[in-house]
Amino acid sequence: MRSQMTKFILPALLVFLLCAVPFVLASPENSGGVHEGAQIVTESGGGHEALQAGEAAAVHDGMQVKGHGEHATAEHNAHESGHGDSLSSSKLKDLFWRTVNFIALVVILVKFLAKPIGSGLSGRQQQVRDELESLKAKRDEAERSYKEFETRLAGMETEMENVVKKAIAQAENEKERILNDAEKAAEDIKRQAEAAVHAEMVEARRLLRNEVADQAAAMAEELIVKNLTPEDQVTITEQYLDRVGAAQ
Amino acid sequence: MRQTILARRYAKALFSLGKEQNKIESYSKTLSAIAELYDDGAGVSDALTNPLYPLDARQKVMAKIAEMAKADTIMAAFLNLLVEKKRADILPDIAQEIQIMVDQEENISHGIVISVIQLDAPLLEKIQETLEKITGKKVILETQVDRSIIGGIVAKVGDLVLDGSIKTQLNGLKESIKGRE
Repeated sequence: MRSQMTKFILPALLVFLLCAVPFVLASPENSGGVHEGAQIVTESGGGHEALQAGEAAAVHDGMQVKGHGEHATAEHNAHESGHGDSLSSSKLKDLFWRTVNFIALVVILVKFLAKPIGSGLSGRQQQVRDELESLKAKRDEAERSYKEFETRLAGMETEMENVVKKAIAQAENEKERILNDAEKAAEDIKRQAEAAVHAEMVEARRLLRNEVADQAAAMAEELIVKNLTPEDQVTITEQYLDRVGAAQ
Repeated sequence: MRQTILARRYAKALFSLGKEQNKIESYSKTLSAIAELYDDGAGVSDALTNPLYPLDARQKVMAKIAEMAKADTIMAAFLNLLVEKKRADILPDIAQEIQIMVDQEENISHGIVISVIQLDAPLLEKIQETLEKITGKKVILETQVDRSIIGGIVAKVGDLVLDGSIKTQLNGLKESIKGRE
């Protein structure tokens, strides 16, 4: 991290210094020229009214001076003559420094930025290449799938026939099974119903027999009570005693 | 159960004494007569068993009862002992137990005959003979009238039951009709 920071900060500082040094060096030369220009203008002007150095600089910077009357044309001429003299020395020096500055900047940029930019570009190239290969592989896969599907589609009709045949066979089997189950269930239900009917009949018969037995016993009891005399009681008792005695 | 066990012990003791004195039947009858007083509801049981009454008062009551029952010295002492030991309440059980012992000693069984009408003496005698023949013991019968048996007799001697009633026969007939498929 620290090395990366120095890697970027150092070139930036160097660029800044290289930009600042020529400017510092060029500044006194430039102001001297202006003074010189102003002086030249004053000398060549002769009878002209004295112009201030600030006004000359303002004119040099391209500002328009209005309301000067007839003296404006003469001043302009003097000014133009002053320009023609400065290009030969100070401006060339400035141009030289600027050129040096530019060359240094280019050298620094090439020295420090060539590798990162190159590596970035090569990385990007590799990435694009990989993407291209991946897309190619996908395309091949899609083509293979397409061919496979085409093949399957061609055999689909036969396959469909087979599937239909299988489905029909399964349906037949299912039908047979359901019919068998239904027959079995019907048999069971029938058997259960028969058993239930039989049980009901047995129960009804039992109830009827019980009822008959109860009624018969009740009727017999009633008849016996009605018709049994004390003599009969004695006779029954004696007969019973005889039976018991005989049994012993 | 505890009362029965206690009663049996007292009865056994009195039975031994009575056997020595040859007064077993007399003792049994005396005890049965006194036991009947317990059931009269005249307050004899309370007078003899209630601990609120002083012991000597209860002993006096028992002595008076013994005197009225013409009990001999042993019997009177026995009755006094029962009061003294606070066992007068089991006197009816003792009477019952001693009766059983006397019956066993004399080979007697007590039975009951249930009938619809009052049985005459010859028939009762015939029943008794039959029962004696079956049990091998002398049978003393009590009679009872119960019209629900419709006809015939039901005789019970100990564990033996002879059921010759028409009601039972009708029930048998009914069951046979019901059970027939």
